[in-house]
Amino acid sequence: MIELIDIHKRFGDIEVLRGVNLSIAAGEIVCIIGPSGSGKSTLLRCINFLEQPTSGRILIENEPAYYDLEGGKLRRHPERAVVRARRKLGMVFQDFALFPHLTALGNVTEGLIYGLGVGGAEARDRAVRMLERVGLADRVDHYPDELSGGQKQRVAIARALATAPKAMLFDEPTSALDPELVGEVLDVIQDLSREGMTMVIVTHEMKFAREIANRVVFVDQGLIVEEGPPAAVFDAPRHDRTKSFLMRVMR
Amino acid sequence: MDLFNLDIVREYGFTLLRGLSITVLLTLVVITLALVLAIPVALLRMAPNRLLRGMASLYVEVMRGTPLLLQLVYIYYVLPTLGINLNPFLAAIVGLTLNYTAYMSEVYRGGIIAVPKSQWEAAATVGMTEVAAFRRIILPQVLRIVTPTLGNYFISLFKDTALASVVTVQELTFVGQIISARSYQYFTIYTLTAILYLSVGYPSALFVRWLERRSRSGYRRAGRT
Repeated sequence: MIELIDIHKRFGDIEVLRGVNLSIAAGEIVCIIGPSGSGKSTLLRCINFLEQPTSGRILIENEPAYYDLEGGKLRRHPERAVVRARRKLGMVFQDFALFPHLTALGNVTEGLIYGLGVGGAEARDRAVRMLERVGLADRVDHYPDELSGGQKQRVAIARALATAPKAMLFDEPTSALDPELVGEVLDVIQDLSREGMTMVIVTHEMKFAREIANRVVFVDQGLIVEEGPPAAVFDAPRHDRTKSFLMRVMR
Repeated sequence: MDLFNLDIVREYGFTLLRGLSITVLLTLVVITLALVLAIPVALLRMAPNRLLRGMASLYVEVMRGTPLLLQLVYIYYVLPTLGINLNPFLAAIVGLTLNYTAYMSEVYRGGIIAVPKSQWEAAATVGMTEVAAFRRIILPQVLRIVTPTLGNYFISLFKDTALASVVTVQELTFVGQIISARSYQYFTIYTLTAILYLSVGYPSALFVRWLERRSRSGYRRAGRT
């Protein structure tokens, strides 16, 4: 469903991604782990084109998404096409990125109405259902400032789900949360996995990654160093860099 | 008090009030135009295209780097030699709007920069185009940020309209000058003029302070603080 081929990303002099190949099948749950600054967030952000790769190809449902390569040069698709491709992916940010001037309900309906062109009444129905699904039926009229971190992130998940994406991308969804609020967000993601949602999750929660992932991808210094089923990567890592990273985080 | 001549007030009061109404009209027209026009100028100053950005910057710097008084004089007295004739009122509107648009575009620009980049990104991930994201997500937050500053520009514009007197707009200061020169009742006329400015300016300042307080409180359900 998602295919990244030889993705490079350079910020000025720094090459953050140095040739990443990753393909994600429908229904698969892939957790990306790795030290901070390894490029794992940039990798995720390339998938929905929040970052434009310096080179490499991105296929979504077997079609080149966002841009074409013409003689090594990147040619962006027109904005409408970029937006259309991006709609297939939902995104959840580390810092929630809720719209502060809108209620929980408004946060969900906004994209439906002004992104997808869904009518007001239907958008509202769908939004209420999504907020119920993440356990926030009683917070519909609250503004983000009036919600806890865990509630904010659940609104953000509802907002992403409402657009009916084919896959969900999570960028460290629990890193900004107080420890006691992490569980409620992970529970929601766990529910999604049971419903068969395709997910790519950048996370520092190793225990969670082991439970939920079909495949764990270890990224370091802009490259995929090692990948495999959680049991293999966590219990029998083959590379020294994976071993030392796991040693540091599993303490 | 002998200095303050009530007969003069009776004789010229209505004329001064008419001047005040021109002042208020000028202020409202210019602030409305500048509030709107400053937004595209701010966006042009941040445009990826260098030429557009350069032109917008040049405009803003010219307006900020020369006196407003000179700008008004230039539009009214110099442009006719180039074949552009504007009546006094129109010249004042054009001059004040050009000047205030430049300053206010800088305020908007600061406001746009102050909205976190992730707001644009979140809007993009729920399927919005950049235009939709700006209108629905960014702009409402920008307006909240810039309200106090723009409110103060509104107050200073109200007073700056007095400069329109140099291009013979019959606003309050102009009228005050004319009738005090005619009647030699400088004390009465100018005191009355100041009182008239204050009678509009002070409530406006209170209104702006109220706006400021409102914009500083967070986004919450009505009736909660």
